[in-house]
Amino acid sequence: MSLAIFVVLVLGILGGMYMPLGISAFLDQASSFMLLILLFSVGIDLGLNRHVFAQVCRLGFRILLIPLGVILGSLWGGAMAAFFMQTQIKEGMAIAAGLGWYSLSGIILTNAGNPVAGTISFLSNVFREIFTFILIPFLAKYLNGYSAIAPAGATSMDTTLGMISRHTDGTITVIAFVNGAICTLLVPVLMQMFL
Amino acid sequence: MWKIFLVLTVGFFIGFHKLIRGKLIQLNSRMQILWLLLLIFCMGVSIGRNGAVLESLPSLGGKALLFSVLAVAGSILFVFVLSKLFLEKGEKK
Repeated sequence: MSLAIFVVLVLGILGGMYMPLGISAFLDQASSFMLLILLFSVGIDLGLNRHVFAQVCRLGFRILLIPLGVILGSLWGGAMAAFFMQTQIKEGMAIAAGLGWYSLSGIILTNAGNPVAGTISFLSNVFREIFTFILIPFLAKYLNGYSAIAPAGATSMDTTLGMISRHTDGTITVIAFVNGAICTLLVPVLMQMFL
Repeated sequence: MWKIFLVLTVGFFIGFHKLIRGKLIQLNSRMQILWLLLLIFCMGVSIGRNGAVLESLPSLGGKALLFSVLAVAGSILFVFVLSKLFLEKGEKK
């Protein structure tokens, strides 16, 4: 599955570079439609698993540990990267605080007067999403379902939710959605903290 | 964002009230792979057609890669440890 995703992604990038602009513009628009179809399909699967919500409720507030881990882990990663590159730790944490939401993180940093950090944040969060798609099957198999949510960050409520749902169970899928929603709400707040 | 909530909720109710059955349920599951791959292809097209992204890759791509690798590694590490400590214990009664 990871290989198929990688191949399709590369084909898409090459396609985007060389296909006529009209077609690539159409496919660019179509991606949000594909996402909605995929999530509709995931919604049906979740509804069929009636016990899912009871299991999620049993976890209670402990569900918040997942976004907590995602945020602490990402900020730690950003700080380490900044340390290796001998730039400001704070700026590194702001770059990583995008949690995979590349469009927003790039814009916030660029608007804050740091276009270089904005571009790095944009690119690194695009890479993060790509890595997430490829890593999910391995994480679900060799670590646990919760770990498969970790790289997704804010995207676990939309683009990567379908992938998580395929490789884990209904309970993890609901937790992934909650994690994505919390991370999405916190990305602007976190980035402001480190600007 | 509200569209995501809407399709998930509508899908959920269709599943919950068993409005589709048997073969359609299987078909729905199988089609997810197709939707997923189409989505990823379209996302690839978005990256490929965006000139600014490709132009900035040579100069900033390496730094961005380091950030993404470490942020992903950190997230997996923290979530894995927290889930082992506080979540999985509850499952095994």
